[in-house]
Amino acid sequence: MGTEEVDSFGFQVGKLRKSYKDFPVDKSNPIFPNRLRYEPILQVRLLHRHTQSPRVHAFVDSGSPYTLFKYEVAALVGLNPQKSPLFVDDIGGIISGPREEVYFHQVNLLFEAGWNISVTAGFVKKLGCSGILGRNGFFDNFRVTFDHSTIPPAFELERISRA
Amino acid sequence: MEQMVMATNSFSTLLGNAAGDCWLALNDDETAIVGRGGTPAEAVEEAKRSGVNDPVLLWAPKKWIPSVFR
Repeated sequence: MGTEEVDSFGFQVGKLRKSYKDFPVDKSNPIFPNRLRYEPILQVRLLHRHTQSPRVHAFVDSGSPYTLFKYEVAALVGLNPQKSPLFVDDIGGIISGPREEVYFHQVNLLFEAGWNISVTAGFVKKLGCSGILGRNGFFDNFRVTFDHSTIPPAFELERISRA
Repeated sequence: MEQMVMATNSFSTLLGNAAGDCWLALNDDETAIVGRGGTPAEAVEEAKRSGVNDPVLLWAPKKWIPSVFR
């Protein structure tokens, strides 16, 4: 668990520092000669209407405007993405193939440090990973520092207090 | 107060030897694959049959390439 401190607005404060995880690379190249790459990963649980998912890997990715999960993750919390979404958008660039519809819902994310935040998360079929923690939903709740001075690199999260 | 959580060094080897294009369930310290399936629920069920009731889930792509989005 992370810190249990609560600030004057009722938000948990404190920090979590975590090493990147090593992921395989099928084909070596000069940048990845050892056929591995390091990625900033968090384990998160989704919470929707009192149903909590198992822990799911999610990439910390400031390049994504949205917090996204692969479509079938929604079923773990009894959610049908196409039923009464907050809104539907389509995205390109971070998914394979042509543009794809994303179904957004309000869910809570429970982080391994004990933080619980409410986010508008999208569910999309063609996402090539379990989840992405993007600028909306994640980076607006945490101050994130990436430290590539070590091997493996590390990142640090600090919960942002909002008035 | 800070919490330091170290990554394992063998994670890439574990995933590199695993099946792709499916959901994988890992044990608590992510050192073993305890379930797999076409859906997260199938991977969880197999993990439970292996004695791991609260696995960690991830999507394993068909190929491990230096991008998370393909």
